[in-house]
Amino acid sequence: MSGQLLAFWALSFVILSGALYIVMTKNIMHAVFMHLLTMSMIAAVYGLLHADFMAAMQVLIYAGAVTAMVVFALMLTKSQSRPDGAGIAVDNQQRGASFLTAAGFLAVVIYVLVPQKWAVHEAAPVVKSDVAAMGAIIFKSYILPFEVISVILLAALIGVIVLARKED
Amino acid sequence: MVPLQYYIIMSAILFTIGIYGVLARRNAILVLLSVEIMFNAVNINFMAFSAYITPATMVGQIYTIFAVASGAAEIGIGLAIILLIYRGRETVNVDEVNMLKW
Repeated sequence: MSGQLLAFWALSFVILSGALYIVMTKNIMHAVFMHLLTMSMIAAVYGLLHADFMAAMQVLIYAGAVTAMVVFALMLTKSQSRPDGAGIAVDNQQRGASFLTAAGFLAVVIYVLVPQKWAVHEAAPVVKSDVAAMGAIIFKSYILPFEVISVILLAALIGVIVLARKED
Repeated sequence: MVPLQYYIIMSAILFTIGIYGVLARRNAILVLLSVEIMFNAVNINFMAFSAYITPATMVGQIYTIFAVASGAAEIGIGLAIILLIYRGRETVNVDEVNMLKW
């Protein structure tokens, strides 16, 4: 077994069990910390795919910024659920139906996707991380989506300020 | 070398876990965390296809950048809405917020 395959199995195990913990645990704070771990491991998967820049972005945005924002939201709201699971439940009454829906979705996706023959590039995956080339592609071919996403971020920024401001 | 199928199956399972979380959780912050899991499953797919099928043009990586940016906007707006709901109704449970239901 090659080292890459071994690393992939280990990372998949940590990511999937971390995600399962996030959707199963009764302690919200533990879920947030496990979110931090899962996002960092997804960054490691990007490293396995030779995308160093996106790995760094993943750590900065998801493991750093999003987790910090969620922790702030937790501090500003009072959950009626106690960390030991007593009090009001963090789950609703539809866990069985949710499980069936999710399992059905997974079955369909696996049934459709696994027999596919993808046109895998013969030299793949040899991409060396080339941030300069990526920047050139973004600013030559994808300049319109880039501008649109900056407008979306500005709108989100203003929207968050308007929403979260206290009315006086 | 890791086959492309492994990445696809892994991200499909991750997306499924996110679906379960969105449907089964009633704390709105946990619902948002599950949505983040689904976002990341999609991003893993983008990155894997980019590395295996179009390694030279890096289309998938660039889509991932845009997806991450809109995901960051989404979580910011979502948390602001949660804070707004909490301020008005003293709860973050999504099944108690039913003003728009008939």
